[in-house]
Amino acid sequence: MKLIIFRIKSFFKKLPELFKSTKVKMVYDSDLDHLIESLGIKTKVADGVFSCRFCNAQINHENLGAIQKDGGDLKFICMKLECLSKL
Amino acid sequence: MNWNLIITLGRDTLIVIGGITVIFGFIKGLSDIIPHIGRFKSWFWLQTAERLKNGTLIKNAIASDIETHVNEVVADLQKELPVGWIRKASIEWITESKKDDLEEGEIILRVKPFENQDQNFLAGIYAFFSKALFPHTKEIIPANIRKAAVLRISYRTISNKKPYLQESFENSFLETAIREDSTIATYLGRYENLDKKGFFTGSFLREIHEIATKTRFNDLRNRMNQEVDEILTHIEGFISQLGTSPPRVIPPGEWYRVGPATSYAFMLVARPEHGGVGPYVNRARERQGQNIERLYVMGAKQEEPFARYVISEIAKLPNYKLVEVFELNKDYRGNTGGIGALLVICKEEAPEESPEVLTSN
Repeated sequence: MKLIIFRIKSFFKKLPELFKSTKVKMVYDSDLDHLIESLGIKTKVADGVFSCRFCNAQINHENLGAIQKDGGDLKFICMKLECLSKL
Repeated sequence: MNWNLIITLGRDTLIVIGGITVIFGFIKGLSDIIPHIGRFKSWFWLQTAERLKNGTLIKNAIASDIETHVNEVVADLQKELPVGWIRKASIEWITESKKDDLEEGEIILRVKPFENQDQNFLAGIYAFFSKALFPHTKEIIPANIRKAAVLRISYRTISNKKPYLQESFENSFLETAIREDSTIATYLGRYENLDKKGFFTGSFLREIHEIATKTRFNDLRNRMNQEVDEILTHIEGFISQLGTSPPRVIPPGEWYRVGPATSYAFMLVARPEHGGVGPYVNRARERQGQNIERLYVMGAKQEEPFARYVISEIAKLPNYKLVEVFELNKDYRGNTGGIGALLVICKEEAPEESPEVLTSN
């Protein structure tokens, strides 16, 4: 009986959790231009100013895989899974 | 102008729109609770996107596909892990942002069109687990221990749900992590060993989280690595004696561990024919006198109803508090399924001095 009551209580405790979510931010390929423009880095990306924080490859529009805010600055990670896995 | 006809048409249109909204709202709500229904949502977006070749629909289809696969796993893991540890994933599409809008450490992951959906899935699932696992204790748990745990859960997920991506995950995520830090390989092997008997999510992750919570503001925080290693060694030693042929009697001292931050004991439940629930309850009583705070009851899949009965009987003991009942990926015999419970043993309070005693002094 105690276990049944516990399970009912647990269910109601878990219920709000069912509607909460962990947000993962993503940018779709076709929106990338717009995003980097809004971040004010479009020309820098085009000029190849940034490099991948893990493999040091020059970041361009084609190989940009992720953007991360770290220490107040924007860092860039290339598309390689090996680099994305270091995040 | 036939106003009656216009009003009837307008009303019918509103009824149709309202009906569609209610149906889709219902499906969405249902898919929040039962993630497997998300497959229908995902299929719907895919079909529509393929037919109409519309950018927004394609984005929805990709997001829905990733969310559905991740959330199916999340639904299983939610039964294994403590409440609030793993929440369902939701993808937020970012089209514009200011630098200040991003939180420190936050990541925006680029998603390629459908032809690259495998890569999208691999990167998405890893990003999700990195964010979701060990809520509130991420900074306290040493990076290699945490990363190996995230990799283990992601690897198990991918092997079960998308086995054809297993090799890709091994070659990219696992290989890179190990190349960066060789200790991760050791932890991965040890975690896998624990996972085969249900002790990885069942007891190990819960113990790490408990230690991290307790040592947040004391010196032990600097010795987390050592403490975690000792717990791993203890559980490995314990499970190495399970399922041996001929069966080995586990020495009494190996059923529990009293550490500087936490103390726990195991109880394996399987055989109702050996005296019923009584011996289990007696053993639980004995634990009270051994300075043990947490009791993990691990029930074999084949004897799940009996294990539930044992858990409920132990929970009736005066100093025991049932914290959670959870499902296991594998039971201690290595079979899929099983049930576990965590009970906290409250310290017996010293009896208050009675007025008679006070007056007699």
